[in-house]
Amino acid sequence: MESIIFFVLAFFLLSGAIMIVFCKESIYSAIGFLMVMVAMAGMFALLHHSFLFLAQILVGVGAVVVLSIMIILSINLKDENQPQQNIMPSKIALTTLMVAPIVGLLLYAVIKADFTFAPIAPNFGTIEAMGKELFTHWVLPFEIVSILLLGAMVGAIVLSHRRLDVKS
Amino acid sequence: MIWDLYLVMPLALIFIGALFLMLFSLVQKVELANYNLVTVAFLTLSLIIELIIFQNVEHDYLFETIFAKMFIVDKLSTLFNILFLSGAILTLLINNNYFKSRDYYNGEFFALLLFSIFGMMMLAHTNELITAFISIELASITLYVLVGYNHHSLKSSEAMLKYIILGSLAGVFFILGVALVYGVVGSTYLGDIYTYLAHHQNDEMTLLIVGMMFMMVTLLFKIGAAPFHSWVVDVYIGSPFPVTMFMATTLKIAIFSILLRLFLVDFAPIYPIISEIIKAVAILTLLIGSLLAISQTQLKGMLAASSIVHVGYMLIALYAISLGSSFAASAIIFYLISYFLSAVGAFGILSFLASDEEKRHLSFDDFKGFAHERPYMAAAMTIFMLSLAGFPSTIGFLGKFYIFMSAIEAGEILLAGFGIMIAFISIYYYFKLIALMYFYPSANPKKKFPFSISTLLIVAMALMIVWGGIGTGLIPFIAGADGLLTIASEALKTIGK
Repeated sequence: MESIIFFVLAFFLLSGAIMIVFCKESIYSAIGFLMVMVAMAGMFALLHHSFLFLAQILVGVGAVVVLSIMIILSINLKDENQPQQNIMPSKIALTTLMVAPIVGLLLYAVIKADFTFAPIAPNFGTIEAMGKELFTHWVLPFEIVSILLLGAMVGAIVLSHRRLDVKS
Repeated sequence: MIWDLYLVMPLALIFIGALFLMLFSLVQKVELANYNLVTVAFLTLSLIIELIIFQNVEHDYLFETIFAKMFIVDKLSTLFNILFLSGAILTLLINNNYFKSRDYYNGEFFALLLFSIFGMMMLAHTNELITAFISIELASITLYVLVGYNHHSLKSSEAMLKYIILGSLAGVFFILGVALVYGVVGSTYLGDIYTYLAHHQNDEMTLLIVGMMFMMVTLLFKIGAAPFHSWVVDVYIGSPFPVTMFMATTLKIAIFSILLRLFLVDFAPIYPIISEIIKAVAILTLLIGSLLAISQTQLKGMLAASSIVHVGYMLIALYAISLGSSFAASAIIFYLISYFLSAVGAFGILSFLASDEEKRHLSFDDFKGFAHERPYMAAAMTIFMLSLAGFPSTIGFLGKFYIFMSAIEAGEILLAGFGIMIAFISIYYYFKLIALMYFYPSANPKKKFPFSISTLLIVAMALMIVWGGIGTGLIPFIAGADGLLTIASEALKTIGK
């Protein structure tokens, strides 16, 4: 049963990812992004990690995807305003050829590696366990992330406050 | 505990400085020069504390009961912090005139710069891969904004967008690599990865090696090595001068701090696998960088492209480390310092000219007869160009000398010869500027030497470069630049396994 759900989720994840890259209309790409995010949340749920599942739904779907869809709708993209780009089969073939060895190596390595994990604790994935983990073992990265967010916020405000007035 | 608090002071000061400037920038009446002064004051205070720490620290985990072994303080991290801080101070002071001449700078610029330096310092201190990733992102996210700071120029915005998209794509590889490493080792501490690698056979840990290669992709991208170099020229040309200087020098030093730590501690058991890759990357970087540098018509573009070549030289030394050269790691640190002095000086002259004159000095042709117009500036520029080309009697020569020495020590005479050939090619594009400055008549009358912080610093840096080159061999009783090499190797000894 679990593996069936896994493959269904994986199917949605991959097809969403392909949609993001190949759709010509950016709104369809955003829908693909939504699919990826929801399927990812499903993956976390499958791993019994309820905190990450909630966070993914709240932040990933609720904030990131909705925001990107809103932006796409509000800037009113028209076909004639979009840059002319033709997807050239030769370029795709060349890129695939270049990436194929890396994918092959990765596949080979993943299949060959024997993953032995410690048995998970009974309260694994709950908000309580996650909070304890964050504030005991990972307190340094956690604190630096808050500084990172502060810096990114200042940057975002600076960028949005400026007006682009190009001098000729 | 008190000692730990003392060790964390420099970082805390930088963060407090960033917060202070962030809040302070709301005040409308403050002049821009004052922001610059406040930033430099915070940086200087932090630098002084770091200098004292450097004398007294050996190898220490900071707040071990709270942070476990994530926060490492040793001589190497302190040395790198000193380099970042002095780099930032020099960059800010040399651009003092430039900040005043442009209307788009404000307090937030300096706050973002301090955030970026905080990320770099954290990167030098980290002993754990997730912290390293967050620090790299902190250092680069703020830089993305700084690159696009000039809102009068579409080029600046274009450069920002390019850098954001490519930079975050490259950053993803690091976290993917960390995930793979964690999957195999079960820990993200550098020491644990070393222990795992040392006790397992190569064919058991293919996934681990693949993960480490992914991490290398990000680091090579950030220093601008080929084949991840395509962003360098566009972004460097598009960004404002202070940011270009900061990216070309200080960011590179920061990435090398984690690269050296990874390379010396973790990668040691898999040198046979990784060394061939580094060699190929080094040769590619040298060749492609030279080709790019020759074809540039803008001076900023030439300096940007030649920074790729300089990364190539340092990768030669990185390759020499993997072959067992004891002296290559300190050669890299020395080269970083020598490149820093020469590049910041050269960019500094360009930014000074951009602030002092209506006419923009952008292309090579604008420098025709420059020596007759501003003889002192031209002399300083000549010294910087000679140092970048690796001409004897400058610090750049010593840097290249140590790099090629380490390659020869590792038995790679052909690679050293190749590097020397690339250095000869680089003479073409550096000496072109010198020839243009001196061998053409000037259209404008001679100008007086303008005394200001920027110009005085430029002259001081030119003198430092010459001192670094000749002070070593000829004057026996004065401390020379090879003292830096001793300091570097002393710092490298404290790195723990």
